[in-house]
Parts: sequence; C-alpha cells; structure tokens
Amino acid sequence: MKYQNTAKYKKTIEIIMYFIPIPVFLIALSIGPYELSIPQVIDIIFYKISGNTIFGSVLASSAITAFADIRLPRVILSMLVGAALSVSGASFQSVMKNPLVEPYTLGVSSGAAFGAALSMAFSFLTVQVSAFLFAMLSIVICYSIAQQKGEASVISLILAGIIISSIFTAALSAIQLFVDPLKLQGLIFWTMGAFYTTTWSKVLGSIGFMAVGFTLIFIFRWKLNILSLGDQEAKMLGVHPAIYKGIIIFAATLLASSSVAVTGIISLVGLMIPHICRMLFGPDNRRLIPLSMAFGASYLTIVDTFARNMFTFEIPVGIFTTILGAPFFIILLRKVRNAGWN
Amino acid sequence: MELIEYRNVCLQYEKGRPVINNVSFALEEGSITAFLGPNGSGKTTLMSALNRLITPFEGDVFIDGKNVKSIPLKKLATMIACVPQFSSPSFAYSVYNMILWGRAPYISYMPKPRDYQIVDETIERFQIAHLKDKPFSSISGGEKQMVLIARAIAQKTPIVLMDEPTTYLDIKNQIKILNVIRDINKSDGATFAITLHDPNHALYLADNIVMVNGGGAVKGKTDELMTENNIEKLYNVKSSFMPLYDMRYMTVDYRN
Repeated sequence: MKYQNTAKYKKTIEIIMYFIPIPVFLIALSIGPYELSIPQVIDIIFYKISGNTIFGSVLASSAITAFADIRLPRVILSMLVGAALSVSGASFQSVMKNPLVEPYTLGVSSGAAFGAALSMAFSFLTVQVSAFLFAMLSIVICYSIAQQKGEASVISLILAGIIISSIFTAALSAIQLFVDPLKLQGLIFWTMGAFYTTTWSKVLGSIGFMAVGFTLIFIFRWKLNILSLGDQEAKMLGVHPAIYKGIIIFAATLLASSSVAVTGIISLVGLMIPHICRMLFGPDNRRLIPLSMAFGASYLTIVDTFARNMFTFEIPVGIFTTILGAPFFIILLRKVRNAGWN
Repeated sequence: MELIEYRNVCLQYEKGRPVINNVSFALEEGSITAFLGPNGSGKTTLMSALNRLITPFEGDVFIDGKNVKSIPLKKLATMIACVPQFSSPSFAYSVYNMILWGRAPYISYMPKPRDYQIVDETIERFQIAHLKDKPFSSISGGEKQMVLIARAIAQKTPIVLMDEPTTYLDIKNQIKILNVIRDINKSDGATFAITLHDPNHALYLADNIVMVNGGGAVKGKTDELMTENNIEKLYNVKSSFMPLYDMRYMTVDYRN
C-alpha cells in the first residue's frame, strides 16, 4: 500500500515536471530592466502572433519591440540550449554506460567551440556546420583513444575527454591571437558561455539542428536502455549496438554542437540535470529523456534570468552553471543514496 | 529433431590463434545440453557462435536449417535468449525493467500491453514479485541470476543459452537455479545449452554433454560420456561415479 502511494505521488510530480517550463518561460519573460506582469507578457506574445490581446494591456511600442527582439529570443534560446545540453548529457551517459560523461567532459563542447570560433574568425563554413564537424571529430578521437575491444572504461573516457578538451582549448586560444581585435572581445565573451548576444537569427539558425537531435533521441530512447547494458547484452537482445550507438552519438553531438555554436561553452548542465532526474524518477530513459528536456530547459532559463538581472552588468551564464553545478552536485550525491547509478 | 547444428566450425578472437577448430555436432530440440571443459577451453566461445557474439571464420552454425549468419540480429533474438554470467548495468534499473528489457527483440518503439503482461506473468512464475521495484544492483547474487533467467524466459525463445549460471552461487541457490531450468525445459519444451563447471550439475540436469578441450569438442549422451576415463582426459583429475539421490554422482580425488 505504502508503495502504491509513493508511486502515485511520484507520477503526479512527474506530470507537473513536464509543465514546469511554461511558468518558468512566462516568469523569465516578465523579469528584466523593464518589468512586465505575466498578463502583459501573454498579451505581447498574442499581439505579435495574432494582432489581438487577451487581457487588454496597453504598452509602448518601444517596450514591445525591446521585448520581442531581445528578451523573447533570449528566453527561447536558453530553454532550447538547456534542454539540448541535458538530453545530450543523458544520452551520452546511457550510450557510453558512463555516469560521468556529458558534452563538456567528453571534449565535445571544446571541439564545437573551436569549430564555431574558426568559422567566426575566418568565415570557414557556417558556424553551426563547423561546430558540428569539430564536435564529431572530438567525440570520434575521444572514443578511439578510450576504447578497447568496443568498450570504454569510465575513467579512460574522462581522461581522453580531458586530452581532447585541452587540445581544442589551446587551438581556440591560438585563434584568438590571430583574430581581428574588433572580433576578439565578442569571441572571448562567447567562449565563457552567454546568451548576451541572442538574436532571432541565432534561434532560427540552431532550432533546425536541435529538432533533428531531439527527434532522433526521443524516438530511440527505449533502445537507449538496451544500449546502456553494453554491446554484448544489446546484441543478445537483438539491438545492433554499432548502428544505434552511431545514431544516438550523432544526435547527442548535434544537440551539443548546435548549443555551443550559439552560446559558447556552458558546462555541467548535461551532467547535473540528468542526474537529478535519475535520482528523483529512476534511470529509465523512456522517462529520463523527456524529463531532462523539461527540467534542463527550466533550469538554464532560471539561471540565465539571474545572470542577466542580478547585477547591473551581465555575467556569462556558463560561470553560473559551473559555480552552481559543482557544489550542488556534490551535496546531492552525498545526500541521496542510490543515486540512480552504481 | 535436430534444432541446432555446428558444421566444421572454427572460431578465433585473434587471427592465427583459433580457440575452436573444426567442430561439428548437433543438438536436439527440447534437450538440455551441458558444455563442459576446463577454464579457457572455449565453452563460452563455442556457445557464443550460436547468437553471433562471435562469427566462425570457417564453417557454419545452423538453427532450424538456417545459417545463423543470414538471420538478422533482431530476428535471431526472437529465437535465442541468453543468460550472461552476470550483468552489471551502469544505472540502477529496477528488477521489473531488467525483465522488461527481455522484450526488446519484439519492440521497435515502445513496449505494448502484451509485453507488460508477459513480464508480469514471468515475475509471478519466478515468484520474485517482492523484488520487482528494487534496483537490480541491490539484490543478491542468487536473485540476480534468477532475474536474468526470468529476462531470458520473458524473451519467449525456443532456445535458451546460459553461461555458467551456478558459478557464483551458494549451494541452496545452485539447486534452486538447476530446478528452475529443469522445470522450464519440461513445461515449455525450450532447448537449453548451458556451460557448467560442476560435472554433478551436468549429471543432474543434462540429456547431452559437449566436452570442449584443446580446440575440439565431443558430443554424446550424458550417461555415455560421463565416465572416469573421459573426466580424467578432460580435466586431468581422478574421479569416481556412484549412485546417490536417484542420480549418478561424481566425486573427485582431492589429493592430487
């Protein structure tokens, strides 16, 4: 009986979790240098879409423009990136049977950052494509260094990730030396991980890539459970490890690289969010993937709202996620027994 | 009827170092076959050729007349289930989920009501309802083995492979597992191929024995093949057989 009650209770929380991004979205939109109420926020969005309002708010056109061109794309992008990094982390963790990996620890983020910077500095390909190519390159190198007979140990993957990360970070610094001084400041700010420069074109430029990544992982999230048992057991259960691992790694890399391409490196989101979801709702990827998506989107948006409003100047959100992520993660790990992985 | 056939099978992990050399035998439908042999003799390797964990570099394995090589992996998993020696998933999946994973060969997108029904039936059959919400990693060795067998049974295949299912278990659990295998074989008529270390387990359970040693393999009826002479050839130990508890029982001379 006691079990049934907890199960019901958990199910309710789970359903609430899926809807959390909606209030977070509206509240984040209302906060800023120009304070708006939630009905005003809803009105502006409706007005932009249909030309009508629901609550009959009256606002200056400058406020509407500032809201629609700056705050709205920024909040949308922070939701997309939060969801993308979390889902990417959750997928990498399952497919590599490794609770410690995420885009940042695997070197994928650094690879993507190098690719994106290369494109920005020297107009090489487009930012998104270049970021993806170098992210893919780093995951391939990382996996080949770490694996033995098709399996990579937890530690060897992390070590390989550190190596790849250092190489691409060094290469990124080298780009900064050669780049036009006018572009330099933007590049440095971007590498710290920020939504400061968000425009609609960035949202539209990344949303397609992210949609592909999200869709693939969502479709194959059941197979992710089987893959997480290892190559041999996956084969025994009729799931071709090479094919499905390839699809998942492709999709997870696409999610990470398309995030890095627009916001720079935002670390620890992909580690922290999936782990919190596992601790609360268990490791089954059928639930973990959509939950990470909802929770990741909300988390990064909340953190970014703080990052842009806490001080008179803007702090790159990547600094916040790292500072917040590390101690939070340690406390949670110590507090919660049976953390969803062993 | 012969369900499984090994025809001139040669297996290797590294080129030029064959583990199994030109082995041919057949296993009958509905039988229990024990693979016996010293450590490193290639018992598990030989069995792995059946579900394509390893592919012969010469010769072929046939199931129901079809070459294993030509059967897609997903289809093959609806014919053969495999109980690995152990499973240590990196995430704390519940016992219920571990059994549900056994339905994977039938699932393209998400499990259907029928899959959950089969899992529920299997849990009831194995009397492990009290474990179903516990993380797989937190249960005992004997319970884990039981859950892995339950997973293979939920896979609903005509052939079940087991890799040393009794090795890490205490005597009570060994007996439990052996009898579960026996019961399933009797009631479902599934064909079992099992690698074993304890010859007495083979004597109790198996209709046939495959003795694997030095790259070769010999198959025969349990009573015919299990003799002092063959055991000495296989393990290089002295043994004697005696009737005990309604079976032939083997004991060894421990004094070297």
